[in-house]
Amino acid sequence: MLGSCSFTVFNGYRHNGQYSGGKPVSWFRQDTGVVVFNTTIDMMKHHFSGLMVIKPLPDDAYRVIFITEVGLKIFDMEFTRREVIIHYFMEAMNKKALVNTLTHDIGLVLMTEHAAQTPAALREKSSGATVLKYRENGRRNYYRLDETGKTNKIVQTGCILNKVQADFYSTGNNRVDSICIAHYHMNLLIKLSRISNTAGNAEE
Amino acid sequence: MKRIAEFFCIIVLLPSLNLIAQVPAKPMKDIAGFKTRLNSMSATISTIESDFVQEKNLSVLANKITSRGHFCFKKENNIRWEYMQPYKYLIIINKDKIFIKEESNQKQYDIQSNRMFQEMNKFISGCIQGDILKNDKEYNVGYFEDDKYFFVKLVPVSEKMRQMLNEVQIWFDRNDLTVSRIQMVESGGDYTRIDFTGKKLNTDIPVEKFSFK
Repeated sequence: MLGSCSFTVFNGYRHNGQYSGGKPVSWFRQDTGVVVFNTTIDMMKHHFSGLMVIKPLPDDAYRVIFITEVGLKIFDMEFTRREVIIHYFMEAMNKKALVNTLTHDIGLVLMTEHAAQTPAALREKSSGATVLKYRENGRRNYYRLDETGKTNKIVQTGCILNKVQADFYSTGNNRVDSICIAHYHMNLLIKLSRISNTAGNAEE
Repeated sequence: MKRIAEFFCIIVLLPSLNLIAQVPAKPMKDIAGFKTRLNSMSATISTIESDFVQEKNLSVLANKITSRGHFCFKKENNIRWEYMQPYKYLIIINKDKIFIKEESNQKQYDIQSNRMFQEMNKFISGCIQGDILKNDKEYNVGYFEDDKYFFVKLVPVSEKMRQMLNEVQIWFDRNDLTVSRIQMVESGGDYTRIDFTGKKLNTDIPVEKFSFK
């Protein structure tokens, strides 16, 4: 859980002129085929765990399926550039607030949301890393890029306060190995840890 | 155009025909005899130990998600269900308690405190001991057989349950009537198949295997 009062006005970035590079590309677009993550979701007092399957589809869309370790399907959703199609959501968990939060967070890490706009280029004061800022629906998304141009952190803010932070960890080979999504003002933490290719055989 | 449609039908139907072909379709001749044998087998078994391979088949994926582990059962109602590859996950049911351990988290629950755990416990132990076949209030049961297996198909009566689990299929080995395979089919056709291999009956399984540490 992140600090409960993180203000966006002191966000630790400085302007770095007009950005001339390409848009940040989703890790799952760069990756090859289906990715399976060992996943835990801690929300309020509830704890869920299972396997999150992410499959890239044509037109920048993704199919995301969450199943328990014993094989029970919790949800099956499709993320396109325009909408989220819910193919299945287990009735016991099909609560509007939960569905909205999960679709928002998953959409954020899939990077389906940022519009075709030229981002403002910033520089992180502490590290000097390039940060791209997109404005969307009253929110701002900050994508911090590593030295190879890949996104290793997304911070989403409202007008005044930070809302969500997603950190990406990679050991190379163009693939993301783990992701941590944390909310600043809600007790919600989602951790995804990639299952190795050799052990699981869902890679296509 | 008609040929294209026929070709399309073949491509779409082939995988499902393949699935159906694996299911014994011949109605069981002696259902009462099967139930009697199952009851006496269940009475003589005090422990079962087995490896298992679980395959999750999702229609959107070309390949299955496969996991492997080890399973132990000891009368009365002690179950150890341990996933070892490609992730670590352990469920222990010890009478009225359930213990779940993940790689970074472990918790103990009172089975009676949670309806889902009650159902899970009833389902797992019911499948192992064959008690689930007596539950004709919650399932419509169909009996089939082939040369190798007795095959039982359970369709939940409750529509609410069917939205989650359309059908449960259990393969019993004809020789010793132990469960060789369980397949849980969801309403959309996705399924989870668990195959039990290297079964050992009535071995000495230490009670520590079912304790929460």
